[in-house]
Amino acid sequence: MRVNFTVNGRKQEADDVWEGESLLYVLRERMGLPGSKNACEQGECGSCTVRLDGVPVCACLVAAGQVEGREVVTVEGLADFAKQREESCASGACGSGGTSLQAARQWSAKGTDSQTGEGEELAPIQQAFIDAGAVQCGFCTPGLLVAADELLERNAEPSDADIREALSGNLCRCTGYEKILDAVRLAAARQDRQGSGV
Amino acid sequence: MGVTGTPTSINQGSKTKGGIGESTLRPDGTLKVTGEFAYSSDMWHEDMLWGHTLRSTTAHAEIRSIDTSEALAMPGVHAVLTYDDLPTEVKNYGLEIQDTPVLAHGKVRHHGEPVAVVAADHPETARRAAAKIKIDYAELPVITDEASATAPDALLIHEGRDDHHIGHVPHPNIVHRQPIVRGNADEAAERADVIVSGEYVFGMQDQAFLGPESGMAVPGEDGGVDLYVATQWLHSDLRQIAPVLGLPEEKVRMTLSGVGGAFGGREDISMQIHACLLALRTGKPVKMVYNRFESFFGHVHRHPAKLWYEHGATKDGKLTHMKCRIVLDGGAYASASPAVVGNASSLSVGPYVVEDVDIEAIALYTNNPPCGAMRGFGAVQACFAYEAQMDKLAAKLDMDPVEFRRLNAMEQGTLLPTGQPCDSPAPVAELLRRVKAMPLPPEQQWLAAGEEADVRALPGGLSNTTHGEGVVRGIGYAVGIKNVGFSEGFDDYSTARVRMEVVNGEPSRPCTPRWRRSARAASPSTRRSPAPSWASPR
Amino acid sequence: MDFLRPASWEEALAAKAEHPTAVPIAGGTDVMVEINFDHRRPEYLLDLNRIGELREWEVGEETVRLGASVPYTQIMDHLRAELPGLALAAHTVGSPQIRNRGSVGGNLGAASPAGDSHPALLSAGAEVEAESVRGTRLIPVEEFYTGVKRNALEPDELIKRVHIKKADGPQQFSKVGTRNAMVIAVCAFGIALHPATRTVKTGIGSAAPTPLRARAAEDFLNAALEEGGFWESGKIITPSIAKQFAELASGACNPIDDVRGTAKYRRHAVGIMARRTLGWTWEQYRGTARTLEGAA
Repeated sequence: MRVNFTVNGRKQEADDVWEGESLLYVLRERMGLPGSKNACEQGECGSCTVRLDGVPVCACLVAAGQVEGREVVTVEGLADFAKQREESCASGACGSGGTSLQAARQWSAKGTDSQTGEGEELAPIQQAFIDAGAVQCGFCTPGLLVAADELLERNAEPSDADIREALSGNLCRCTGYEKILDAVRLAAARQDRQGSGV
Repeated sequence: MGVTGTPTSINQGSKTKGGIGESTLRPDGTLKVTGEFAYSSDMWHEDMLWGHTLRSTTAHAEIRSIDTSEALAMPGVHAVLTYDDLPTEVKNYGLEIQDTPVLAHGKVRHHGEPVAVVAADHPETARRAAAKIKIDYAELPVITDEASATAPDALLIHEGRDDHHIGHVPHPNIVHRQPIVRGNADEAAERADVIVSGEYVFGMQDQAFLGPESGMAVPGEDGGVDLYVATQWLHSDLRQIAPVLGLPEEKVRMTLSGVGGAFGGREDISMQIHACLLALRTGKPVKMVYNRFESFFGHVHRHPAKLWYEHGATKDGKLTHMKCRIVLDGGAYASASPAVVGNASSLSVGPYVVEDVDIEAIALYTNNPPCGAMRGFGAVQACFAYEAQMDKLAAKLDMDPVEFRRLNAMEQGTLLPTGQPCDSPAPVAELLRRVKAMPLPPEQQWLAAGEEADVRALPGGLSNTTHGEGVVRGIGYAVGIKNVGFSEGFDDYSTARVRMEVVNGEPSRPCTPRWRRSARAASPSTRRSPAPSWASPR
Repeated sequence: MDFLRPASWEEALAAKAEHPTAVPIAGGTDVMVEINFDHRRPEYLLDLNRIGELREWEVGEETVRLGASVPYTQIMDHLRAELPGLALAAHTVGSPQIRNRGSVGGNLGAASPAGDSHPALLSAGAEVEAESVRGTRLIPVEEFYTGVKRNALEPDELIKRVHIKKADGPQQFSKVGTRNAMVIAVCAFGIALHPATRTVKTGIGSAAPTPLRARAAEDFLNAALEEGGFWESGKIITPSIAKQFAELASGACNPIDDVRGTAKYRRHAVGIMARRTLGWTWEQYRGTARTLEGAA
């Protein structure tokens, strides 16, 4: 079957999709976006977390055919997504209720040079993960970033209980989670400082 | 509830820029947070095929016949390989003992053993084809523990063993036996005021690294193969892969892909050989990715163990002797079992001073899933048992369990059970003192959250099983030892490469490492090149 | 495999009538696991994501009419006052990602005895609105579960809504798992006080082939509360009544030994949860009663 949807602001079309394929498979194997990870493929680990019409979901549990006509944001588009959110907030166009579908539709990704990891503009949560040492093997990182970014979008000052709950669907086998919690606290603190400075 | 413990700056390491002790950021951090870091399961090639493994559904059986004709006839299927298709005389591999068939021959020795591999144009096609392979199994009695492994009429898991351990084991179903006797434990026991013994059972554990076994093999024009894989030991893999492919090592070109965790579980071969065989047979790149279910068959686990321990101590709290017998279940293939036995025996005393010891550790061959390396192998099983013993001894002596451990703690100069002196600092007593001195959290910390606390602050959490009723707190201390006199003489070492540059007669400032870019450019056959990762041996 | 994408409820019913073996998929949190791991290869997948009305709810006088695909997150965020037991249960489902996709309709369709919403539905009182091209019927939730992973739906029927009684008193939900998040129930218990009718209703999960009510425990408690005038006085329930209630709840279980827990443990744990949740709801009731007295 054929599936049309928008990924990171770009219209995409996948052909000859087997009906049993997941959104995760289509992203990774058909669209060249393997950032969402294939760790458990049963909704236990959150490594494939993406935003589907703004909502964090496990891409492994979404049937490919279900995303027809919908909007997906993956870790590859997270930096642009966060930047555009910030810009629309600065212009007073955002509320506290997360990204509206309308806002998500107006947004499109800017081209990035994938040949170098340097000089890339990162979302605040991405930078915080690097700075706090929250990245080790990195396989859980993309899913955690998408989930944590969505938390900070709807809750600028999360308590530890909020952070733990928001990340309870993401497993990490390397870090023991402490540095991941640090990274989210760090991103929240920086966001707070930035906000109060305006 | 406000934000607690908010870090506002990162305050580790040295203040000297570029100096020793500076906390540097991961060189691969940016690629990993942008999703661009190429893990082994991210490999992709335009005309690649998907490999799939058919695994045994039974733990011990003769294979009477395998019929692959229906699978081969399926559209989209490019190859189906069994033992008979292996290209050369060498058909086994193994980390320490070459006892593992690339594909099962004549019999299967554990549930999940690879029997056939399929290459097809879509993973679903490969799965459907594998389901059409007919295997006629004749079940054999299963060996699951020491009693069944060493029974007089026990079947041999491996017949005709000729490895270097066979001369030192009491039964061919024992992979390796390591006794260590120092002093005279029986005589020393006579000085003991209390003697405590116990049997401890330790279950199997899994590394459960997040990135499943995966990789891609690309056939080369020279008849060789390029393999992109996540592994802990490229060179050890190569030594095992090249012979069964019938290729010289230089024709098997291995590139380390991004490693999604390992924890010992990637010391052994998983899909490496199968992917190469399929690529060489079909002339096309072959990608293999285990799913989470298959991953549990795809790597070795932590050895389950039965441990019997006896310790004695004097009234004033000094250990007199230790006797132990550690039986590790190695499963159907040896993997790292000999090294695990070495660690279990040589570290079985723990970080304590005991002059008189009588130790025996063995690993069995059984029909259970193969076991091998996982963080601190051998040392962990023993620690579980000797620390339980320490608590029992302290209780019997009516002593504080931490104080009892401190009295017997090893230090620099202490003789390990093998008689080897510990020649580096080992401040066990100080470590225990500091841990004991740390403040405990409030006993009923949820009370601090107040009457209106949301359910997450209560001890039952979201599951809402208790609001404090029936909740008591236990406090325990334990200490362990690992990687000292490691694996009976395995050298642990680290290396560093330092590059100095002089620009206009002055030392230049530290520059961005260049290796990352060059490594990324080095593998044109994948859409995004793998960057080096940080796998380390054991 | 064919992927059917009806754009409306009517189209979905027509598709299900034409292909009764079609497997409905909404959040996918059960179905996709089975497909990813080759446990299931249905001839047809029937996608319900495009049917907006399934994600809507309506709060009426007596009931909440909850669309079959309303995600658990929405129940937690918007229906906590009307459906407190279900909101608590919803909060224990999987993870945020799962709660963003999973729904009560999916729980009912799968009919696993371990489904988290069942004890809450049973104790609140609910009816399942099943529809086919032949018509609509309301199935009391007690009669909906017919066996392990089996329900009362006909092959051509789909779940449209669940009609759940609005809370008229305190409700609690408790679930034993091996950890506090991302966990399947070892066993679970739901309780709802209904002061309007002076009754207490219960629901037990994962401790019998189907979710069920602890009827003997309810009957005993209803009689004891009536007899002792507890509803009027709001006095503390005596330990002996609570104990008897817990034992009867325990006795209602018909559990199995499996990897998650033994039958013996499940019976024991259900008794403990029954006693505790009764205590909490009764405290809430007394608090409410006191507040009302003070207001009067």
